[in-house]
Amino acid sequence: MNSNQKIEDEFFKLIGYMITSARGSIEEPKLYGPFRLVESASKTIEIMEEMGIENDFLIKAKEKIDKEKYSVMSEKKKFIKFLDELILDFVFYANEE
Amino acid sequence: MEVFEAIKKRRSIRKYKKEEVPKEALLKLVEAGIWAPTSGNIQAWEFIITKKKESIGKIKIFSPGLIGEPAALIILCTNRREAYEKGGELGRDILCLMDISMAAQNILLEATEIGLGSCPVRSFNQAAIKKLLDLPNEVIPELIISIGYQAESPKPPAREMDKVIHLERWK
Repeated sequence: MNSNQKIEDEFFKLIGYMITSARGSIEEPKLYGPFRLVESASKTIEIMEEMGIENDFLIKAKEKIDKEKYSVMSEKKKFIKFLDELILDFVFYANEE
Repeated sequence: MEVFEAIKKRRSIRKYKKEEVPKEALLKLVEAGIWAPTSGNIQAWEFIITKKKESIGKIKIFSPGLIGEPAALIILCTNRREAYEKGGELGRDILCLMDISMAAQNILLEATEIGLGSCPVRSFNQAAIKKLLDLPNEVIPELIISIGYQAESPKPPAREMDKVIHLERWK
């Protein structure tokens, strides 16, 4: 499998995951929706890295997501705080650019 | 390992080592599963074991709840036709689900005992998994258990005994 095919395969998996998550979100616990969205963000950044698109800010954002995302299981307030902080990180980055 | 120790030691694992799990160990887990209690001895359950990386990868696309890179999956299914024939509507709609849940707990505890990590997952698209695994109409995938050697030791959420236990009467 060449690198283009590999990237295509990774995108296929991600898009399949997002569509399945969309269907699941209709009946699943409400907080699973936000979790699936940040998980999709993390997976997207991972694919970007594999494609050779290096962005230190996004790599750090991915690390933060992967570290904090499971708080959704037991600490709702912590999960919300993490999302709020993550958004502010993006605001600062957008302003710097 | 004492049963109570296994109960308290078990965690839902979402990070696994890249290490294969022997087929014998997986068969032992399923054996533990089928020794669970079953309503009216109906045993309306089926278990699919998958170890192939390609198959696990495909299942993962349609199972958002499956996190990490497990070495194997056990897909626990009910056989609704059998459950209905032997257990009527109650057997088909409720009891077979209780049975598969008890089988799942046996699998999770046995995994803990033999040093394997596991995680039960219900966030998957049943129609997609049915199609991927060529399941007949009457066989429904109810739960997927991911299995592998754990690469994390998550802290357990608290349990509130006082809040949920009622002695003799509701308090």
